[in-house]
Amino acid sequence: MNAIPKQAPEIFGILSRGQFISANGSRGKLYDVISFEDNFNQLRELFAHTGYSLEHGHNYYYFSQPDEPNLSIEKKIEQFAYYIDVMDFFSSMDQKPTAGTRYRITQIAEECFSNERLKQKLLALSRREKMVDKVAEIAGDLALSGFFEQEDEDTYKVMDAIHYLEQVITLITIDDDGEQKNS
Amino acid sequence: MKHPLSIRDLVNLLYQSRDVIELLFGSKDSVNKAEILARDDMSDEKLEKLVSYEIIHENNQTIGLDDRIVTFIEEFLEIGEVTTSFINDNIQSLNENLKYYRIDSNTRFLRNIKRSLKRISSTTSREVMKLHKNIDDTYKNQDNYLIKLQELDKYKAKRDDIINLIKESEQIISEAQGFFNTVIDAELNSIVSDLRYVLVRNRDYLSEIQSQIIDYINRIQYQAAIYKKIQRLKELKDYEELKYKTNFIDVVTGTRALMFQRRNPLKARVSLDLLYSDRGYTIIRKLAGKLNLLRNNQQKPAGRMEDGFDANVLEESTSLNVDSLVEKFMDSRSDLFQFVINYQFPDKVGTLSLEKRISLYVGITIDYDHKLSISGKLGKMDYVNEKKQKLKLGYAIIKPARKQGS
Repeated sequence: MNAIPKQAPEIFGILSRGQFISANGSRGKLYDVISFEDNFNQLRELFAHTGYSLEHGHNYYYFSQPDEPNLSIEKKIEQFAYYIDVMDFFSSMDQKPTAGTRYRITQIAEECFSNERLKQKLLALSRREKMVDKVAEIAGDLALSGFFEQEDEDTYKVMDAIHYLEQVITLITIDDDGEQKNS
Repeated sequence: MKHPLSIRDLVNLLYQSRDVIELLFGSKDSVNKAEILARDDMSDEKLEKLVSYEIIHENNQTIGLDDRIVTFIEEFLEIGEVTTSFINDNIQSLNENLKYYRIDSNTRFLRNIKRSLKRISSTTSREVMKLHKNIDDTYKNQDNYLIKLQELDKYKAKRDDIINLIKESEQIISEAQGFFNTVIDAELNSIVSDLRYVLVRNRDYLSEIQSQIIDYINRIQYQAAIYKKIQRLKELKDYEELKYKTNFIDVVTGTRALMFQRRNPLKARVSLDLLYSDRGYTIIRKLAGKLNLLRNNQQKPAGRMEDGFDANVLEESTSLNVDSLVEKFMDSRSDLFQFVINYQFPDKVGTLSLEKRISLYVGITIDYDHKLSISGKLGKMDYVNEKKQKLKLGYAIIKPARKQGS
């Protein structure tokens, strides 16, 4: 058995804030640390004492909380509804939000100028005044949750953690209401 | 006029201008003429020579490599687009030459047959390699997923073409097997068996590629399906139907990831020990400045205290260290008044005025009377005060009380 990796406090700090550790971001090193040999199981056991469970998805790690207070459910639904809006916005663009895609704020804003549909979506998402600021706010939001990562002032990179959102979306089933199916 | 080129000349020519050709091949777009001429290894004549032999083309001040050269390099290096036409051409020519040879057993036709067979073998392997490379490249590097999907579809069709051509070749060979057996030629036999082996191997390879393409396409379509689903969900959400037409609530309630919870970062209380330290002070000060708590408080903490700021206090304490003074007096043989008046205090204390010495004398008599023996005799002393008046001072003569028996 190895000793518990020395990065454990750092890992805990990130994950306990509800963030993700993705393989393709600047925290790739930490991802490698967790994936190294038996570290995942060791850390999982260690963190289990804190009430959080270390989970891993496709190229990312995150914390889940097995017994969670009920009061947060409403908040959760609200928040995910927001992510639907955001994902809808990004998936309406020419460049799709797959892991590794790089978005430039100015470029998105530019696309919104010429695309009325995107513009409407963007207007609904942020109350900032300038287009660029609106996009920056949304991208910043996603970066805060660990789905994006800011590479420089203008560039954001999509993290592997985006698979988490995709996974949840896959789980949702839409009742067949006779309307356009999978339109 | 253009002179016919020998192979030797052509290879030499290519070798001489190898740097330029590399540059031209590397830059897919045409290069400006001035840029080429600016190179050390290029001159007007050289360029003209290359143009006259049609190795490069000049068009409106831009220069590009001849297509034949580009194709040759691409073919040889196994890069570029996958094309099935080469295999196809060779199969055609194989068929024709087989027909001719049956009519006229000329060795010329046999030579052509062998060449066609060899070519089928090499081109098939090459195209399959290229196909694999391009598929990988497309999947990993193409940004736009629509184009990606279409390109992969195109490669899938290409793969089917190659498979068909392989089947066709195999059929021709097996049909001609009887004929090959009649021809006594060792080389032909080994070529044919090589080709059979190559074809079988490539077919295996292609079925592997097939599953890879399908995997890639599925993944892309899975992604595409997700994007469509997101947009559909958004639509439902806008109609406020999300809660009724989907199991959205259940799914989201079921997610256990921490990210959906209110973020309460762990709060640790500040260590009091830290606040007492210098570092703590700087932190508090910074914080107070930020909160604007110091706005009505112009007081700054006093600067560093000067060395010896407490010298005065020290002096007092030395002069008041009456205990040791009394100790010393106890060992002396003089009377208290004379002792106090004449005592040489340490330098630190400085010179004490007569008044101070007298008050000290009085203080000692009061505080230490149990150690003293007051004889009742009086002594007299003359002195001059600050106003230059001559005064006579009377004092009680006090001696240390000797312990019994000493």
